[in-house]
Amino acid sequence: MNNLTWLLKREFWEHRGGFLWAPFWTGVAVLALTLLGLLAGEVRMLQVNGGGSSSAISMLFSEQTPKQIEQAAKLLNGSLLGVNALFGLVMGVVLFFYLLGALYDDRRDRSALFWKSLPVSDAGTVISKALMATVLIPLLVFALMLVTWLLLQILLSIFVLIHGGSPWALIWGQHSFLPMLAVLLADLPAHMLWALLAVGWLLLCSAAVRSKPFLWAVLIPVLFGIANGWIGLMGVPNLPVWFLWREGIARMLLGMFGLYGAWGQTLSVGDEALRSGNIFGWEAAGRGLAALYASPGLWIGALAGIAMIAGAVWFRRRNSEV
Amino acid sequence: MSAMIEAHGLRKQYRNTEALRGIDFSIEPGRIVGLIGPNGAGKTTALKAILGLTDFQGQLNVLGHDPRIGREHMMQEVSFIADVAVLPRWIRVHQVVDFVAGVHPKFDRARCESFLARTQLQKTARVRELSKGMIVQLHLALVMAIDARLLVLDEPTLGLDLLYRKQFYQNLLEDYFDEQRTIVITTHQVEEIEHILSDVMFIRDGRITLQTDMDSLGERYAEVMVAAEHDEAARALKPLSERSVFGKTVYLFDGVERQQLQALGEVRRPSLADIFVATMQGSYT
Repeated sequence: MNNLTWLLKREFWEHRGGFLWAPFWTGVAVLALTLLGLLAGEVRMLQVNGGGSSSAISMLFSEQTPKQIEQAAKLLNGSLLGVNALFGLVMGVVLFFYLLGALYDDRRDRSALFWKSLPVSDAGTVISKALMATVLIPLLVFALMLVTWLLLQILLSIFVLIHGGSPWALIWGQHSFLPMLAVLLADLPAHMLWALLAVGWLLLCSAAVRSKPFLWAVLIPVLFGIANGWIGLMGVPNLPVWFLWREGIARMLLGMFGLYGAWGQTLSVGDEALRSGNIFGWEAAGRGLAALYASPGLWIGALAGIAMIAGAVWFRRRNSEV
Repeated sequence: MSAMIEAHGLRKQYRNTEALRGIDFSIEPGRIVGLIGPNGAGKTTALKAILGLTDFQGQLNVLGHDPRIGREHMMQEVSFIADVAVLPRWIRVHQVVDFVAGVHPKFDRARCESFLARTQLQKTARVRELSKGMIVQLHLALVMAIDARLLVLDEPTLGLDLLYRKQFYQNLLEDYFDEQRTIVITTHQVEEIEHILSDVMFIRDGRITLQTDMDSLGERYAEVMVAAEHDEAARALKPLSERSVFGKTVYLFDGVERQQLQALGEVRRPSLADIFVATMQGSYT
């Protein structure tokens, strides 16, 4: 347990740039671009309406009709899902390359020999890397995403306030504010289970190959998919083509992308819950989440991922150099 | 005290070659053993087997462990430096010290820091910013602060300048080695380690061709500088090798009576390098 803490620390030391700074600067970019957009809007208004500009916007906010509030709710939810998707994308890119190199780079530069000179088990090493990609980084990115989104809402609140509107009515007091966050949180474990397949596959490639982990990791499933399609064309029994690509190959390669993985499911769960105007439908959200966690694909993929992580341990024990 | 390392019929087959052809050896505590052989003779394979980094056939016991099983327990008692520059290039000096202190129960942090204090190493420097010599200093400081019973060194000074090489072995002898510990070294710089070895093993084509302590080596091998008129007599004793120096010929003999040799000329103790060259002739042909 103590060893595992140190192994996780080591991963973080080595990949601080991808794990911390990439999502951090994503957040900064979101906020900076929003601020720029708001300022540009103000200036544009000034140019169009002369001195009466702010009063034009202010009129928009002077009284909150139910229609306006509903539109604001859509904007609010859209911003949450959008920011979430963007962070998921950044995380996916970071984790994809992290996992491909995780058990390969140190064999290539021979530093694996140093790590193996210490009383640390190969299983511990592999598990620390899997844990990082499956649990810790999604949690960290989620936290940074949340902070970014809240700061974004503060920014918008100031804008609304300047123009005499009510941030409470338009943003913080929206019915869907907390429920949408709850849905995202409830989806997080599903994302982790979902990502296990890709984490396992990429770690397995990283531990097994002697060169070019990227090519092996991508080519094997893609060629398998194409071969399966051709076999189907010849009329020989094969796996359903779409099923294989969507549930197998795409998940194997892209499962750790928040956008593609279970975070993406949030879009539909959230949409479903919000179908009846700006009132959040708990029942619909519950149904969506239940369906997500009850889908066999989620669990089968997770088990396959764990099996592949075990395979990565097996290779790690045997290969210490490329 | 029982042997630190014991091998019986140790065999390793690669796809096309047999790297180790069923070797037997045992290494006692308190020894410094040089494992010496030409390139491709099986030295590194033997060390890898000892360290549990490769599969093998036959029996191998390292400090009571089978290296293939539960390596992580064995590695509490075993340290190794494989070549220079295997420290991860991204890591900082203080990070690698923290990490080893965190995972190694036998690491003495204060000792490591006192070794580091003697060097020019900056705590915040990354390994990639250090020279090869400094990386080895760092690695040695880490390893010497581990209270291990067996230290394995595989070409530890490769690519270092003379000053660092001397300092490396001097540090090992002065600050690390004692009668409880064992050091196994492979290197091509035989002259440099000759004076610190207590035992030597020659390995050639996957077989151990010589395994002895240095004292017996001096008794078994002898070098005689022979004047031209005694050449015939010297050759009759079947020397391992001969080379000419200042118009005389130096013959290297294996297991010939001292008295017979003294009749030919001045008898000297041959250097390990000369014995190595003489016994390994024809390795690459």
